[in-house]
Amino acid sequence: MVGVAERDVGGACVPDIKTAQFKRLARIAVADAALQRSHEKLEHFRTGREAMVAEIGPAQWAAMQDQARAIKWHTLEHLDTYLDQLATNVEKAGGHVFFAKDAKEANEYIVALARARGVKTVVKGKSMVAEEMGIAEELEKIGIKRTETDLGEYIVQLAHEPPYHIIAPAVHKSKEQVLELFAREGLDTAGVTDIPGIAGVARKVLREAFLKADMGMTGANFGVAETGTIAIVTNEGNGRMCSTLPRIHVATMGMERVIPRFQDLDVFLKLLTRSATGQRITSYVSMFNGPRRSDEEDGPEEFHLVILDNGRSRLLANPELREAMLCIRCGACLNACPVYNKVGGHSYGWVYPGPIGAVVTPVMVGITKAKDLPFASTLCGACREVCPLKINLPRMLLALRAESVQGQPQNRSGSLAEGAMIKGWYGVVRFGWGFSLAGKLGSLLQKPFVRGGRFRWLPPPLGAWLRSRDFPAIAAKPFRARWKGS
Amino acid sequence: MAAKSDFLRSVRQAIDKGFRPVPEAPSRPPSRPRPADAIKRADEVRRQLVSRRAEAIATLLKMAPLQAWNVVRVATRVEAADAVAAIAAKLGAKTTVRSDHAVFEDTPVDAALKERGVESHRLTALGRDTRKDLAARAELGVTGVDWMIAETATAVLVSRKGAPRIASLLPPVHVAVVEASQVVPALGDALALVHGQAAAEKWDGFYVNLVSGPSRTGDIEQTIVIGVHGPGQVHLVLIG
Repeated sequence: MVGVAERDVGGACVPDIKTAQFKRLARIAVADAALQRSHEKLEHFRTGREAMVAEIGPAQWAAMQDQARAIKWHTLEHLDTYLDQLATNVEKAGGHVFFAKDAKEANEYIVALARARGVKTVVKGKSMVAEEMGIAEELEKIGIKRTETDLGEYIVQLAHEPPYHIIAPAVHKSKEQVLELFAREGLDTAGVTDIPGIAGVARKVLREAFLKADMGMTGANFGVAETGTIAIVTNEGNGRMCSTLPRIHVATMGMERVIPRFQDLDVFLKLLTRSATGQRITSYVSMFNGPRRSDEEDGPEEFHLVILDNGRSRLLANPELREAMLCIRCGACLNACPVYNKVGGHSYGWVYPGPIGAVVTPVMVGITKAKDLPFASTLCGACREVCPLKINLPRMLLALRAESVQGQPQNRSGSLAEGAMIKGWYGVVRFGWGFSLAGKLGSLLQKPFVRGGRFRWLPPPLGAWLRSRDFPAIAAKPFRARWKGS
Repeated sequence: MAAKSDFLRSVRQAIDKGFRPVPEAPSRPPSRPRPADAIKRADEVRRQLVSRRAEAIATLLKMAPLQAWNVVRVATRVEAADAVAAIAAKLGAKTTVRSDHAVFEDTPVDAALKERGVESHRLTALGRDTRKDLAARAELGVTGVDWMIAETATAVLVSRKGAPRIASLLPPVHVAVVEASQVVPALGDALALVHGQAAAEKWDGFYVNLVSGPSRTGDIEQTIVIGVHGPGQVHLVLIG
């Protein structure tokens, strides 16, 4: 038992969860030809990452992974101390820190701040934690205009959709779809046909938003305890804009993002950008620990850091699952996962898709609401293979599967009949003679169903198995006989 | 305050629920900030820079084009001023803004630009609103750097008096003027140097940007587009 179910929804306050609909959403995504084509674009991330690991050299890469893991485990052992240190140093630099137990508290803090300062418009950089909180909707509820400024996020904002991928939010949209969306929203797309043109349209609109915004929001890739420094990686420069132009800057951060020393940024930045987008480094890494310094000529007058728990301490308390707290949200496991590459990002029904999402979501929203997610994996191990922190995701998915079904037959993914069949199969094959008899019988009985070396049809309910898989025919001469004969 | 102590207490309780140190990270006490150590490490890095410089510059010259920097190498600060003016003229720029980094001291950069019919504005000399308006209007932003990292061709820009954030952010083209003595081999070196300086000068806070090429996005169909919010074109003028 990994102890998730009994704690269930507690603590986490999360908007718009569709995790219970995984199977339905996945079926829709798999049948959507355009979505399936868009998944091919992820190849770019995979080859990019591989090239970067090759450039550094596998031995050096492995050493960096070990170093990062050791730092992260150490941080978790003293997470409270390091969070305290981080907060103290942000305050020393003139910033404010708010510790939020859940999304609701975090949202209330930011909404109250915006109200008190008469904020009318907010420009937002990309932050998965902000998505998790649902802060955008809360700001809009009080009449604040919120503009997403990462191009991908801006596109999904206009489409009223959640991000599809934690690094590439709009990877599922074709340029034609984006153009249509821009035109529908009344943006000036006259004469624009190509991707640079589309980006140019967004640049113009967003530049105006940056220049007049009262508040800028960013996420936090890392929070350095030693200096209070928040580091964010961006390629477009929207993170720089959000932390430079508006008079108030609010950064939101998941509590597991803390690292002890400024120097630790070295190994973590190197692992993150190479794993995420296959870049040696992103175009920009911005670091800040407070409002503008007294001698600076620009920058925000106020800085607030919101540190969020929202179910993370449940993950930390769980010896089986706390390894997920090492995650630096690079998205490599999504790109590598054969299941993500079929069902896409929206099927998972919440902010974190893919293998890492299948592990953290059940803990954060409650396993009864996300019981299918741990089964959204073939356990092939590709996610673990590409993870910069070598997180053993398959192990945790298995633990969650056990959790999901133990004592709770209603959570079973397969049917009772499936369970009975597996037990029956075991009864036969545990004896050698049973196995060979079954093989002989099978190769005789299969004849009407087999064509071209594989099963074409099976009576229900067995037929369901063939919908998405091949089942090879049973060989006329068993392997054991061939082995002996050779 | 109650929120903080409650929060940290529940984190502690979560850790205590059977935290077993893993073999790869044996239990050890948490580290504490030690400014003296940061200063010492920066001194060490600085001492080694000279002997590592030639190699670092070779690496930088190899990496800069890969990160989409346009590189010009010159011998002196005066030649650098000319190189900046030449870039502006080639772009057909009418207005440039620049920072007050040390590399521009005693150089004819403003005169060189004027000679080619380009207005040059020192951002520091302007009022706050004018500063922003001009930077948003300028075709070119010219700055020095604090350090230049060779391994990733990364300019390290610490924001301070004379070096505002917007100088390298709002104009569509950024020219970074770098002296050979500012080139460091790796990210770790630059982090140590910035941290050491912050500790030595007791900065109350610091805003640092690492800039490794032009602004870019791959958000539509994974097709790389250069120049979204930040500068779409970047030039590196290396002196020495």
